[in-house]
Amino acid sequence: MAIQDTTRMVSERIRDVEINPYEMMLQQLDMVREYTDIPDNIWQILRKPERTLEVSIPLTRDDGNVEVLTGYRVQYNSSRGPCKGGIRFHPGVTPEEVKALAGWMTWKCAVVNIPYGGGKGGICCDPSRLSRTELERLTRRYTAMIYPLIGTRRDIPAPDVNTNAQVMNWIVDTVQFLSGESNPGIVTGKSIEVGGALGRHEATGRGVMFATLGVLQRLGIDVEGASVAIQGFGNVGSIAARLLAEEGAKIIGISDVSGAHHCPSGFDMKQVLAYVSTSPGHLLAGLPHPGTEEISNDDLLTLDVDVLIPAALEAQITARNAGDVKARVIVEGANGPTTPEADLILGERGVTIVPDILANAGGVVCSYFEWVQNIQCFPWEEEETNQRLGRILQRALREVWTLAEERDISLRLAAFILGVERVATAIQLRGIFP
Amino acid sequence: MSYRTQSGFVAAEVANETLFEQAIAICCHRHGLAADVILRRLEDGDCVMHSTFRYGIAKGLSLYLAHLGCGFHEVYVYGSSVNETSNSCSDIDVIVVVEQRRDEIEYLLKRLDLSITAHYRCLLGLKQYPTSLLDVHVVDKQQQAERSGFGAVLDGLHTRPICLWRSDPAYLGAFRKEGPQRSLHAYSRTSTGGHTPVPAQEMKIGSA
Repeated sequence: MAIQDTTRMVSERIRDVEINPYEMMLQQLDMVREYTDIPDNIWQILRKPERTLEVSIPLTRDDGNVEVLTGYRVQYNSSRGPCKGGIRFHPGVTPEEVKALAGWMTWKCAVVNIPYGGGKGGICCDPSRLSRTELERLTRRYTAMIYPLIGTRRDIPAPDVNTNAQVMNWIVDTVQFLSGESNPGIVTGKSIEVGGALGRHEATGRGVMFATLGVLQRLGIDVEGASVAIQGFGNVGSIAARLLAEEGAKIIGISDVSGAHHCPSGFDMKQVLAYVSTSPGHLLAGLPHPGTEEISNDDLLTLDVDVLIPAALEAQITARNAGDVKARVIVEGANGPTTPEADLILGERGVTIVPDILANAGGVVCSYFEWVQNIQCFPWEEEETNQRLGRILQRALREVWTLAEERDISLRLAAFILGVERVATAIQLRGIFP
Repeated sequence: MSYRTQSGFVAAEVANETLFEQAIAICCHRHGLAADVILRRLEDGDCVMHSTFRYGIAKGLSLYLAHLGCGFHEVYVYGSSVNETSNSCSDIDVIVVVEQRRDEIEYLLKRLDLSITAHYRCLLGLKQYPTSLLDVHVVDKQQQAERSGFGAVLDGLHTRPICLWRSDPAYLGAFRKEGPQRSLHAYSRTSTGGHTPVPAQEMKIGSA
């Protein structure tokens, strides 16, 4: 048998393998176990979600046909407070993925020490095939199906992949009609007019800025003139770029799906943001900026900078390019931008990586603020939100940094240990009912 | 399979197809059988074939780690993968010698295990087991020198592991040209055909 036949045979058999995300989450959890003295009984609890709900959602399409979709809501752990986590609409949603993400939210909320547990929800659907009215009907029916689980003191959803403020507004409205009470704190990420928080839109990018400032300070790098490259110029990347520039950093590399741009003397961020606010698709393509050259996305990742902020997609820094990364600091604005191989290579080279679980936690912290404002019926000024966000994230970074130094471990592991230990402690202190 | 997922959980980059192809190639060389026969024997639970296949995976893993070039010094395999007692659910006992233990190394090895195990189950049509194919122990140079922890296994008299890769080129020169020496069971124990392990330079692992 020729080698090509072997290749074909193996390829055919393993082509569609998907690694179970829940197993991936559990594996990280088990790794923490080796670094902590959390009792076995508590581990048994930490490894399982508290509650998983699967719902069938009949959706009447605009043409009158009915399609039954499947949705989920998982409450992973509520020992530290009501569950918190987004709702995603995506064809790839599976119960295992939702469980994994709910667990991840549990540790994420605990790392930044906000009084939440973790949850997640989703509907297996392709929202690009749905009209606005279909999307609204789907959202409202899904809300009704998970209504027994959610609540301001029980489980608070938020936007996630393919869901937005409008979807949250529909959820608030549906809950109000089901309960007969106004209850804006049932979800976060709503429109401002429906009870959303000022500053929510910028929160994740602002959090990335705070994480960057914190790590630069600890490494003794002056932010004034520090060079920064940012991959991804969407909600997170563009806001982080603007805020860091305001702090005196020199943004010398930016990119989005349309390409990457390099300006060794530093971009005028006001000019760049003004351009993308009116450009086709709000993309950087055609950016008219003096002293700028177009480079490849790969080149952007390997620019000679103090800070690299991957704020686009997963797995951008890999074994292939990690050896060429010249940044001293990587702040993970996106989820999972660094592969395990790259993590190892960068760690070996002494690059400091602020992990995603901490670096992009600004969004969930601001969600917490929105919830606080809703249950107090007392909206804050944006300035107050921003200041409190800074305090929480700087404290979290300080705690993670200290733990990493004490135990001589990576910031990624330290953040995970901190989060898991906090949840474990809460479980122990509360005891097991009955 | 992409190691990029929308969930934000990122898998190891290892190219499982290449890993398995090379492991099957080693089986073909050693047992003189065609690939489809090898796969059938693996599905039937042939212990000798499973051991050879696991040896091939361990070899591929060692070269993958070598290709990363991050403080890895030596990679050994021992246990059922080399004494021909593996079955479809057996794990692969591996010892990785590193300059210094770091959590990133353990994280990577666990992610590699998850990826290789998931693909292995799919390759052989196994539903649930094994849950973990790789049983990797990390030993630092100090443990190796002091023979503590799994560093002691490296010098074990009865289960002396086989060195699959070593960063020191001089040491590699001590191997026979066609591959590493086995400590316990000679290749000649295999019933079909002779043994011709694939030389290290022919293994191409790591193109994600």
